Amino acid sequence: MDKEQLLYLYFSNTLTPEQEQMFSNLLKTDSEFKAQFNFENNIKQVIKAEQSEILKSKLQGFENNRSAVQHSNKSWFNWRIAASIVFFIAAGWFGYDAFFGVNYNDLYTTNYKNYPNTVYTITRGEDTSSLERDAFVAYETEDYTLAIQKFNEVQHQQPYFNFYKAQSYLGLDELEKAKDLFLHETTINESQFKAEANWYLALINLKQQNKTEATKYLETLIANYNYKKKEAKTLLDSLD
Amino acid sequence: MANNQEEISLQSLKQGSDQALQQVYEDNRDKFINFARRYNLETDDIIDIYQDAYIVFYNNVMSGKIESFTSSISTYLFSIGKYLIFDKMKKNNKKVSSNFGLSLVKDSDDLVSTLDVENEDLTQEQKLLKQHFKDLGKQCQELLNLFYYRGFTIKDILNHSNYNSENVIKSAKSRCLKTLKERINSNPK
Repeated sequence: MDKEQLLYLYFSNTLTPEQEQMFSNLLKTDSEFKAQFNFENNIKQVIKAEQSEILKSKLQGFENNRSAVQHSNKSWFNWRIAASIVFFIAAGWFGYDAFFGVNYNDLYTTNYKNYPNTVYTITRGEDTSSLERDAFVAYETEDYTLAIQKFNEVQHQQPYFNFYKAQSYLGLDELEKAKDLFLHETTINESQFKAEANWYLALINLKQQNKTEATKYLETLIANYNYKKKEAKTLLDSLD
Repeated sequence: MANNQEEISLQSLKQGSDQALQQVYEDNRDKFINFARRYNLETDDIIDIYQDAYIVFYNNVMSGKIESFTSSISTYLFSIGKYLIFDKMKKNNKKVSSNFGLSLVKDSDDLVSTLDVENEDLTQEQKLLKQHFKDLGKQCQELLNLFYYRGFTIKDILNHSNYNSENVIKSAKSRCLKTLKERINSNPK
């Protein structure tokens, strides 16, 4: 096979293993071949760099458009508030709660953040086919459906799986399933995530606009644990 | 996980569709920002890293390193993003204090290790080459772009363009390379 063809196959990612061997031998022994390879490889890098620059400006353009849209939404929003006030005055006190009630969804969004993986370190050299590893890789990359599937497939269930499954359901917005598992977590004596479970139960109840239950979990958290104590107090205040 | 919709996006991205480019960017942007917040980075920095991760992802789609999705697009972006965040922290000499999250960096992440993630600055030689590449005719630039960046075979190029035969393409490509080489040698700028 001629050298030009070998380079062609290399750059079109179609070298067979034998050709790969031949290719690396030539790189070591044939300086002319090596020079030609370096030249073509440099072209590849140059084109890649140029395309990356073009792409970066396109992406920055997307961001600028977003800001412009947000800005115009904001103007529209202000106008809408003004119109609402006029309507509000005209209609008297009707709809008081709708205007001034607590925005539970906002409180949830501001406070919700999924819990980091603090129990399983994914390091090099481990058995890469381990289901537990797969589960936490999926969890860390927020592929929650896969995480739940892998957690369920592990034969020897670890005590912390319950909490991370609950987190995964919460990430998928399956509130009732998440709630059941967090509730279960609070009943396990040796659980290391009791405080956290209370916090997330409070958040779920917030999202479901259940003020009484949310308050109950926040008070439990403040009375018994240090985790998120400050945030829990702030949340309680905003619910009053 | 890879689904039909994402395979369609992959094909559209590979074909250079700007619509797919923006769609995939928007679909994953907020998820990425939410995910990267755990590293205590400013939102502007996160967006910058997201764009760089997206560029790495896109370049790998173009070069054929990602031929089909073995994970969801967001998994690719998160894995690459995590690698870039780690790299940024290392460069800023920030201590990596937590044991979560950063476990998925290049050395230990199967997904990222299959990709071309390095984005090194161009060498002097490459900078010079870049200047001469820009002076080449449009046709040469396009041909070399299809071959070296988008991973097209000669046959793919034949199907994609107005050339008459594979031999014509091969000769054109050789001529472009020869011109480029001659210009560098005669005028090292």
